[in-house]
Amino acid sequence: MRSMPIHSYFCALGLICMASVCASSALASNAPATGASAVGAASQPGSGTPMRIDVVAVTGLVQIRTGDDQPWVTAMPHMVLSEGAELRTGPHSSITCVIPPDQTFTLDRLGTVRVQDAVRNGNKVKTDLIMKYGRTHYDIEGAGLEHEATITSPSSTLAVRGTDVVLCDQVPFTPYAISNTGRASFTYGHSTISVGSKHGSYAKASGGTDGSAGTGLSETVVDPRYAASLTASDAALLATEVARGAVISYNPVSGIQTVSGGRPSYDSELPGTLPGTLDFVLRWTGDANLNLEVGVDPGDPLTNILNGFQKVEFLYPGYGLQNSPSGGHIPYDDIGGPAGGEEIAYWPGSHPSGLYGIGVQFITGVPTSYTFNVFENGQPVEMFYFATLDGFTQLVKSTQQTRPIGPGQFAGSLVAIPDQQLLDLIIPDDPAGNPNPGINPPGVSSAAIMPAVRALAIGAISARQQSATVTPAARTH
Amino acid sequence: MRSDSPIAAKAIAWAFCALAAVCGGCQTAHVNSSLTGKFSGNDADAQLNFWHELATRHLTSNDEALHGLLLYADGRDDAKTYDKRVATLKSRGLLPASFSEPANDAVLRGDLAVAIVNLLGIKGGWVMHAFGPMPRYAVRELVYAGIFPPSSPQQTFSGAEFVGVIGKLDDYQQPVVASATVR
Repeated sequence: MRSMPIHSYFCALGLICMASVCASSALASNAPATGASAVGAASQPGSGTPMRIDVVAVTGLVQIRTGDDQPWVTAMPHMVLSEGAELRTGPHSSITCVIPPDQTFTLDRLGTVRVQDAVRNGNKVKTDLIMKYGRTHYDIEGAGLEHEATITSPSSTLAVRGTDVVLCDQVPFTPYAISNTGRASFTYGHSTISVGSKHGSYAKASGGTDGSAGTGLSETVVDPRYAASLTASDAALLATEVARGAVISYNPVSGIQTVSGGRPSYDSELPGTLPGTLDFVLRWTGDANLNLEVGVDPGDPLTNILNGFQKVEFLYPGYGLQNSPSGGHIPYDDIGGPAGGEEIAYWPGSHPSGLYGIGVQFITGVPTSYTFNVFENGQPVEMFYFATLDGFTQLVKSTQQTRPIGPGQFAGSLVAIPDQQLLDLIIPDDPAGNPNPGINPPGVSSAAIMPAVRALAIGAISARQQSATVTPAARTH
Repeated sequence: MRSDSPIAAKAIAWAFCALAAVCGGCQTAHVNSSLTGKFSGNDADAQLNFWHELATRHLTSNDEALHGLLLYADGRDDAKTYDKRVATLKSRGLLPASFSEPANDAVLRGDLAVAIVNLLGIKGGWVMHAFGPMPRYAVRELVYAGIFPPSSPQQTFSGAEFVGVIGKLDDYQQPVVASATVR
């Protein structure tokens, strides 16, 4: 075996330590971004010619005012407004305004909007609506003018150029943008995504997603109470759980099947129950509820270690996080039972190469031990984590990690997919064993089986004695 | 041993602090000044002032929530006091007969969910069929319908959240209008 230069050993070790810490913190702090950016201060009125705003339709309770210091007045059709006008609506109400020649916006139920800018400078039209809350529908016909239109809300901004869009921002719900035709740019939190396409049709993007596809996936509802709605892999996994005494139900809040009771797979059973080409398995034995988390940093694993772990995809049991864009899936949330539980995340088809973080979060119950396993194409994969070796805390590896966990705690490991021989060479085995002791059936002691053996022996002896006392005449009959 | 020693006095003070913290922590949040007194009319100005002032408040009281619910359902609220509002909603079967929350306590999502479920005529699953709307299952039904965010029945609503929920209620009841606006 070739010896590694010692400096490269420590260099690689340091980088992996850094990546591991990054992965743990990235997995542990998974709260979705809420986009807390506030509405910016009112911009100065544009430098072009102010445009008129015609009220064309009013339904229900609607009021307008021309400035902050002006009184609210009931809105009526054919009213003419200008920059700085503010509109507000009640329940079952809406107001539609036209900014000639080609812009139309509608504010519907329980919202408030200010027309911050509506100016024309030559062939360029700039419009800026500031929506405190509510839902605004904006339609630009694009009649030969260059448009720069935005709708700004407390947590998001929708930039529009010649399209038909909707922005809705109303706590306590996640903001969303819809493009009926054309493309708009939707900013939420620190990310900006495109909604729709130039000649496309209806597309919706919710804040915090990676676009229309992600929103569509998260909003897909398949009622998992019906067997036909389950994939073959999920159905087999749930059938296995039921066979072990678990009870299956559905949590409508987290939106995922829940499993309670039953027991975790034993080490010998695990390889036979893996549903995917890449499987992450969390098992535990105590009466606790633990949750499995998997973060994905796609790309070259070694490069990703050098750059630090970046959580691009994330899997969690429920809350719309049980599916990832690359095909990762968590079929159920095991809430545990007296004999422990088991959760699994898997990729049924191809899976991305990269650096993966596997984490366990203690939810409720008593302190317990947990066991991690990762399999790629049915083969165990090394996990990298910290352990005490020779009196020092060091990064170690094992294909099966077993550790204790208690209330409020979180633990995690790093996994390189595909397996990296370089890392396997330079990182020592876990002193607790590679693999760590896993979960096995309770041992059968001689004291436990002795009464049964004795009963069998007595039965055999008495049967022999009976056959010996039967007369030859009786035998012939 | 003297009972007024510094250690005994400290222990007693700590015990009182702990008791106060425990008792204070168990209390429901109170809303000091309700908007229903300020904007109690049925005219457009009073109604819109009520909704948009409520959206700036940190909490929604029972009184404000029931006033809002009546404004939403009927377009007007002829009850001048909280007791009359409760009686009106009870007589229409929107609130359970056992409802007796104080006017200025922050509204519980579970109580509001029961009223909304009754208003919308949501039948729910077998538990609601068998036992009628209960806060726990009413909240779950509304979460499933997209009217409530994922919640527990013990949570409350801020003013802006209450206005948002009423907006979703509007979308649920007028899907054609919502669809025309959205699409």
